[in-house]
Amino acid sequence: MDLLGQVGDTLTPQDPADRLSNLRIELLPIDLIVQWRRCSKMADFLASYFEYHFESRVVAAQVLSTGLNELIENLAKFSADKQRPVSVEISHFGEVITFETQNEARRAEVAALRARLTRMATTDPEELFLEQLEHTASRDRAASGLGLINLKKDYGARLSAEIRAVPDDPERFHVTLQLALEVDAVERG
Amino acid sequence: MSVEGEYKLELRADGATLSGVMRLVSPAAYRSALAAVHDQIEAAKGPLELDLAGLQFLNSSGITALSRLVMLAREHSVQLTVIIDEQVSWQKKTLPSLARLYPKLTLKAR
Repeated sequence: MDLLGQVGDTLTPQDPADRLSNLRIELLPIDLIVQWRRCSKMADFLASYFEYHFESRVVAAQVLSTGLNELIENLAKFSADKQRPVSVEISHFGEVITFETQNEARRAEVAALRARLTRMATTDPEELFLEQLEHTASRDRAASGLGLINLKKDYGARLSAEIRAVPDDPERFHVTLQLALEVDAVERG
Repeated sequence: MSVEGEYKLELRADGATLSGVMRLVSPAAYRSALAAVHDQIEAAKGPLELDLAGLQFLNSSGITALSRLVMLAREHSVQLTVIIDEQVSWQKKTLPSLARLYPKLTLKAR
């Protein structure tokens, strides 16, 4: 698939050989839509799997679950075909832990993600958070992008997305979203 | 009191307590779940207290819903105190930002 663009923060490349721990799961968005609590249950499971890497296990589990839940909810909401597998991969590199999601999304959603990540890379997250809250709350809209902004504001998450063309379908794009958290930030909560 | 799956909402004369895990699917789901708190704020004759200390998780749709309640309190000039648990990460991190929406909102650690 052709790479159409990379947006967001510049993430330090990590060598897979340096991973202390890794877990990748694949699931169908339809399962999450049918029973929304599966998003939370999956986030809690993955967080509890990785909490053993941290001294403050309770705090780490809270932070990891918060981040993973937002990403898993986004996979459920923004995947074009709810029956097509999406994936979540968590890798622990010692000082950094990364979450990577992959799915296919429609053009409008990809355009919104690009705009959001571009803005997030250059704007103070606290100001962006308040702006987004006023925008969504006063107009009774969905919390578009608020979860990602909140992860950046509260835990210093760094976010980047790679967007690739899907062969034979100009309206769909393959999105790889990567979120990186400093292990210290996870410990502090 | 209403219990919906993984969270519990208890109403009192001077406010409400939310506890458990609240990760509902959409802002519309939160509107329905928090309608009673919305009504309390609209009808308030004095200060209200919203106890969130036992709320372990709230997703971003929930944060939006909570900010709507804060803005409603702002609109009606209702003194609102939010009880928090500083051991719960999202409360410690996110709620101080919400307080910036309304200077009369007070955060009080349990």
